[in-house]
Amino acid sequence: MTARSVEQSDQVTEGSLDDLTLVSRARDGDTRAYEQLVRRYQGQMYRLAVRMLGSASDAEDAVQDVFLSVWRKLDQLNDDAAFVGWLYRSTTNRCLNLIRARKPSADVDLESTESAAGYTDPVRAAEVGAQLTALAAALLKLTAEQRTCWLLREVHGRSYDEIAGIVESSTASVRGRIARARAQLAEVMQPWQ
Amino acid sequence: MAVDQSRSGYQLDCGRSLEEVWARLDEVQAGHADEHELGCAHCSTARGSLLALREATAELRADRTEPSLDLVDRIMSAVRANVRRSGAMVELRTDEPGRVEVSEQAVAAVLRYAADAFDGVRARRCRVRTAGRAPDGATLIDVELAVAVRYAAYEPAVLDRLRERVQVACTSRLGLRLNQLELIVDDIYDV
Amino acid sequence: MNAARVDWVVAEPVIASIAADAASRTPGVLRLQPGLAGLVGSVGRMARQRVRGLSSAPREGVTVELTDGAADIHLYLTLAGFAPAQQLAAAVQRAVAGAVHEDTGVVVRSVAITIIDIDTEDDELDQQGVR
Repeated sequence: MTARSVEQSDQVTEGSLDDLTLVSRARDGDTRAYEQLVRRYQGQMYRLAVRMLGSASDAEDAVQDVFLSVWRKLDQLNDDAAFVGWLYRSTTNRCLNLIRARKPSADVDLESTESAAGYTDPVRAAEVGAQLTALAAALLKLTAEQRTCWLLREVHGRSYDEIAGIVESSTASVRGRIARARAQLAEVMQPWQ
Repeated sequence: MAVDQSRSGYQLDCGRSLEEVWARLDEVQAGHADEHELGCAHCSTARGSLLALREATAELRADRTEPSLDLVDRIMSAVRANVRRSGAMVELRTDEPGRVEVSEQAVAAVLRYAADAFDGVRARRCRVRTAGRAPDGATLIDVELAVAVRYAAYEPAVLDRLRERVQVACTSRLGLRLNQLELIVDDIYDV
Repeated sequence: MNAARVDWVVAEPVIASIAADAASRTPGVLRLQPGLAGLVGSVGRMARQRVRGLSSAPREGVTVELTDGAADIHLYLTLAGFAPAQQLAAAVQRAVAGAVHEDTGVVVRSVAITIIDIDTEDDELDQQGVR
């Protein structure tokens, strides 16, 4: 018998099963357990992907790919408690690969392509806050690596160690990227005066 | 906001680093500014931008934009079309011409469900293996079932009744005979 | 010989359709499970369909093999949790063999059944009379 796991209590809401139970069932091939995990985490992964990619439809495609490939490889997961970390890693890698793949055409006119995409995108158009709009646009001007580290840390609350694992880099370089990202983002933010 | 990026650590024209300003945001907001901070226009501008960034970041964090409603369905139909076939099949006896088999994961689903119906028990891992054939032709299976038990419900008698429940499910729901059941208490929870 | 072969190519999907209908009308059968028959993915199925020039898609979750005028049918099913699997499978075997023979005159040599999944959640729905 193992000790009571620390993580599960905050995941459990009335009538729903904890992550560990769902992950171990899904590993056994239980699609219904997996569906509950998809419902629980698709929004979080989608919001990461949207900010990474700057496009709602690309983000949905990425999230779909992520959940399918995680399902296929679920029996390789050694530690059920590592599931969410694994989702973050897969989503990040999927987005980075997509960005690298589309780089050549974006390089031609990076700024105008991105801001154009930014304003036609339904996600961004729905944003009412001017500051949020400015931030979302500024994010897309960072390098993909800076954006990744900043989003994972500041929006998704992942630890420096975990982010270092996700982007396969050192903690020091993750801190460096976040500091650079913060400086660049701060520069475009207009203080209320 | 003028930031010199050539030196390490993003220095403002006044010599302070942006990181320093960031780290002291709350202090200054709380009225604990030092003399430099009180008078320095560079620091003050940087603070304004960083505060705006922090505010916008909080908005971004609170953002609950959801993907399209059909995304779960799209994901799940792709998942169902990719049902992992790692598990083997368990044969079910039939008098009709043609073999009947049931996937180990379907057997596991039924047994987990039987265990779940038990108050204070949550089934987790369930492994099923064919263990031969009974004299009457029914397939024998070995089952390993890991469960989490609610702290208040945990007592040895619970496991005995659970064992019985699983056995009945094997016979009545599936037409299989339970050869061996290994029950593992994997976890204790309290909710 | 050649003429007979052409007939069979057309007949197999027809038999498959009848078999699928008979199976899914048996109470306790939730659905035929696509994507599993012979591990052919949807892309593979579409390609095969184009090659054969069939206008309607072959039924998913069922395969039919005709040899010497008799059919061997294989169904891949998801059952509802309330149904006793063994009895239900036998009932499907009888229903499918009966329907195919009655509708086409083809002799059914065997009906194999693979129960891919048993949906325990539908159990509750059924008991509440929702379905």
